[in-house]
Formats: sequence, structure tokens, C-alpha cells
Amino acid sequence: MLLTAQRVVSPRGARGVNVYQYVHGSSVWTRVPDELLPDTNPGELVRQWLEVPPGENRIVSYLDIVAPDEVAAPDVHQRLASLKHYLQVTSTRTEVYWDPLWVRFGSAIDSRILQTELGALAGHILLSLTGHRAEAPAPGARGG
Amino acid sequence: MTTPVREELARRISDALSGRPVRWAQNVLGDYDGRERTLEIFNADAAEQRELFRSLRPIRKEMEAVAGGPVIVIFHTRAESARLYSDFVERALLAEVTLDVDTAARILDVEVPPLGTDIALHPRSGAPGTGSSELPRKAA
Repeated sequence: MLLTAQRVVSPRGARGVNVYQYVHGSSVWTRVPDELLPDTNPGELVRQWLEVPPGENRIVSYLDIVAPDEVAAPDVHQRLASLKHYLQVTSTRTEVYWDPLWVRFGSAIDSRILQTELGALAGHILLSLTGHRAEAPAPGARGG
Repeated sequence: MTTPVREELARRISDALSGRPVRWAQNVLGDYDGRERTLEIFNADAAEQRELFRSLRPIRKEMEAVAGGPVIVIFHTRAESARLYSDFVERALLAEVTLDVDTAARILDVEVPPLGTDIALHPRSGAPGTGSSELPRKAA
């Protein structure tokens, strides 16, 4: 599974954080295999939570987290809340294995607030997964 | 010891434990010496507890001073935390991240050179294989 959050700014200045969840299919690992890292195989998109309609928005920062599809939800939730404590970001791009997870953080913002942004993006993913952000409907879904 | 002081200490203990939910014990069964000095730590699996206990050493004296004596620690595993205390745990984790979410939204200067642009994708609709299989971004 890949969980991604990215802070975007639209051409008209709208700001927000869009969150995406992909699945890889059944996979168990101690360390994320290279072939399941996002640049090689992000998996299949199954859910998205959009604050700004995507398409040509500028990306200010992003967070990618790869985890086994079977990982228990409480474990993922705790990892998301713990990430800013675990990972001290000092550069605008960081990649790290946090077994069985893999984490990548990229940002163009002021280095003094990178840590806050890391926590914020992880927070947006947690808020999404726990139902505290509105999910974008799947294509073809009808409102009721 | 005042409630705000106890709560502030619990928050700092949570920080020392990588954001694990923490609270002063409530509704603990039985009467024992130190009941009011009992601290519950959640999402702490057995294999992690020794290391977590070690993380408390730097603030142990302060914990004792605020609590009024030695602090009794109760660890709850992830499974038990989810089974018995899911409401509290979720609330605590959300509180942990919401501060950063709000702070970043307030102070972030987004007028920076972009890392790239995003692209519109479509999530799976029904059968596996119908969702996008690319990242939602392209490099600048």
C-alpha cells in the first residue's frame, strides 16, 4: 500500500492537501522490496481525498509512505502520529526505511518548518484514513 | 498537583514516547498505593516496552515530583488499545497531528518554486485493475 499526501496550490491560488491511497495486492515483507517503491510501482489507486481538484496544481510538499497492505490499521495510525518524532528532516528531500514501512518526504518550503510540515502531511493522511476528511467519490458513483 | 500540570506532563511524556497516547489512569480496578500516580501508555507492544521505559528516564524525576511519588506505569499493547480503548486512542492520535495540520496551514508560505505539478487520477471503481497506477505528480 502507498499512502501519499501532497500540498498543492492551484493556478488561482487555492491551497490544500490531497491524499491518495493505493494498494499493491497481498504482500508481506520485512523491508519494502525495491519493485514496490513508488517510482517503480505505486500500486493501484483505490481512494482519494481531495481538497483542491488536481490537474496542473503546483506541488509544495509531499509525503509518500509504503506499507504492507495487510498492516493493521492501529499500527499505521500510530506510525503516522509518530513520524515527526521518528524522522528529523533537515533537507528538502528525505527517504528512509522504517521497517516494514518506507517513507519519502519532499518539500520546497522554509527549512525551519519542515518538521511541522512533515507532521501536517502525516496528519492529513491520518485524518483521511479515520474518516475525518471527505473522500472523493469513485468514478460512476451516484450521490444518494 | 493541579490538573493542568498533570495534563501538560502527560503531553510531554507522550512526546518522549514518540506520540503514543498517554493518560493518567482512570477507572483502574482495585485499591492500591499509588493509584492516583498511575500512568497508562497505549500502543506499546511487549517488544517495545523496555525501550519506552528507557525513554522515560530523563523525565522520571519530574514525573515523580508532579505525581507526588513514584509513577506506576501500565502499558497497553496495540491489540488491547484497539480492542478496549479505541475511542480514546483515536482521539489522542488525532489531537497529536491536528496541531501540526493547523499550524502548517496557518504559517506556511507556499510561494516557493514548485517540486512539480499534480495530475488527475481515477480510483478503482469496482473490479481490481480499474484504478490509476501512477503517482499523482510529475516533476517540475
